[in-house]
Amino acid sequence: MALLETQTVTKKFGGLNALQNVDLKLEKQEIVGLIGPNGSGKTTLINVIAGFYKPDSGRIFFEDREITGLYPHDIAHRGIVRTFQLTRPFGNLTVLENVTIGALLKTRIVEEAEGKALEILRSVDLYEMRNSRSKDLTTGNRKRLELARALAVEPRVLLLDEVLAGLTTSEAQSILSLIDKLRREQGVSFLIVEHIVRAIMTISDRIAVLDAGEKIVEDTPESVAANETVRAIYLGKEHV
Amino acid sequence: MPFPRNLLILTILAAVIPILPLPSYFFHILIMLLLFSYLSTAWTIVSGYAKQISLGHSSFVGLGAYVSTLLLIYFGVTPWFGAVAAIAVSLAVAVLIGFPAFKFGVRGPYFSFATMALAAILESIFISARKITGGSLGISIPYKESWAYFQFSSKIPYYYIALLTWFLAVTLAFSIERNWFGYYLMAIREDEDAAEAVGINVTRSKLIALLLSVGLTAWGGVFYAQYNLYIDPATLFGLPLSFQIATTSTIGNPKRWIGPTIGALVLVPFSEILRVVTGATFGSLSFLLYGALLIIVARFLPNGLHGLMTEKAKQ
Repeated sequence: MALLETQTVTKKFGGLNALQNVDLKLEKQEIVGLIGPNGSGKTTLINVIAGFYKPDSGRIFFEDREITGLYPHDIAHRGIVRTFQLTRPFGNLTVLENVTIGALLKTRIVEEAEGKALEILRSVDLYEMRNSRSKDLTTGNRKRLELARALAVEPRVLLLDEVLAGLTTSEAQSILSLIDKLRREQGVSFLIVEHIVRAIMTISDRIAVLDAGEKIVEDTPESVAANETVRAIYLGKEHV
Repeated sequence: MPFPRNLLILTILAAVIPILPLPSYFFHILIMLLLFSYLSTAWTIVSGYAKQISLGHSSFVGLGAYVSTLLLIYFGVTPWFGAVAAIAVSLAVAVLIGFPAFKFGVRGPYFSFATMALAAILESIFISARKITGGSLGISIPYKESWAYFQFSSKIPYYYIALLTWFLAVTLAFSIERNWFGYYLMAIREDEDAAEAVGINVTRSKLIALLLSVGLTAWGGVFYAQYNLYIDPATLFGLPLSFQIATTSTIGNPKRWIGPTIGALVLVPFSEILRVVTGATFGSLSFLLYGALLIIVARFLPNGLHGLMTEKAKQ
């Protein structure tokens, strides 16, 4: 069994099928990109895996144990941590306090957690901003903070919900190389939801495409890029 | 964790005050000051740190006072043991309201309304159980001076008990603030979903904060009953007391351990002066002014008077 696996996950909102029988696998140290048009269910899938929504049917496994329907904090304890599409820093707290709170999951000693938080802030280039109030940060720095806080929890799987949106090309590039480094050096696996298809193609091992709640394609970036159905979804049928 | 030296100095200074030949009225004011600092510090643990704003904390002052008093009057149980029962009952009631509220996401103003409703329900229960509680006329506790019955002819022992419990409450608030639990409560105050996402059990943390707060508050009720020797439902369960506790902390700084004490230092003398100047005729005037003060502080001083003081100190 893969490290993280969803089996026929279905989630309905009223009459709308937000997710329909979605099967997805994520192996250790793997990066899987999740793409699809607006409203195709990408964020819903993250919410279901991270425990924020309960699926209507289907099961989710992590490290051979079922995690379907567990609370978000339980799932974070097991090693799956998500970020939010619209960044959600603890706004009135400093950057350092934000990341320290993440680090307190693994140690209860504040000084130790702070030390670890400072290390992580260095790695995401936020060290200089450590004493700023987090709601005053720019979009780019808020995305970095979102990532830093998640990293402080020492996740084995990171679910990243559009961490690149709203960043400049060079900012996006530095986040991408950080992701790659985390995968190589710490063996972290990533499920990355992204709107910017080009960015995700370069870094992902596999790409899964969602459309109207269904997984329509799952393949290597090259094959997905060449796939007729995917092109039809993104560009419109008449262009294919 | 460096212990705040100012707190120690303040406490020691307060402990030597009784050497001075001061009138007992002066000690009455000091005891009220310590009691309201204490109650607001207790409130701040759940409502300031975690922002689960209770507007019904009088529920637990009332339960504390009534449980220990009824045990004393009907069964001759000393208030020292009565306090244990009073705290236990208050904690049970807090779990009854807190667990479902937190579990099912009763957030923000809805939680405040729920706590207000609790106080209103308890008030009418204690009024209508007239045969046992004396109804709205309340209960006078027969005077029997002794340590065993927690009754003293002088104000000084009450003063020391109030000082000690205040010191313990403020120390607890301080250590929570500097520990992982305080960081968890801050995270919950800022964003509950984000807190869950980094592994914080939000429901459990809120419940623990509520129980710490309620346990302390119930003792405040026991103390009030034994100090005042008269309790009635309107005073102890009523909205004015809940609002006074909340206002005191909010004006000081609900996010810091010393905030509620600063609030009480301003509000207790303020309302006492007001009472002396205007007399009983304008009893509600103080609440009008409380309201005005609260609006001013909420609008212009997000971190209360304490925030204002620390900003001035930095300049």
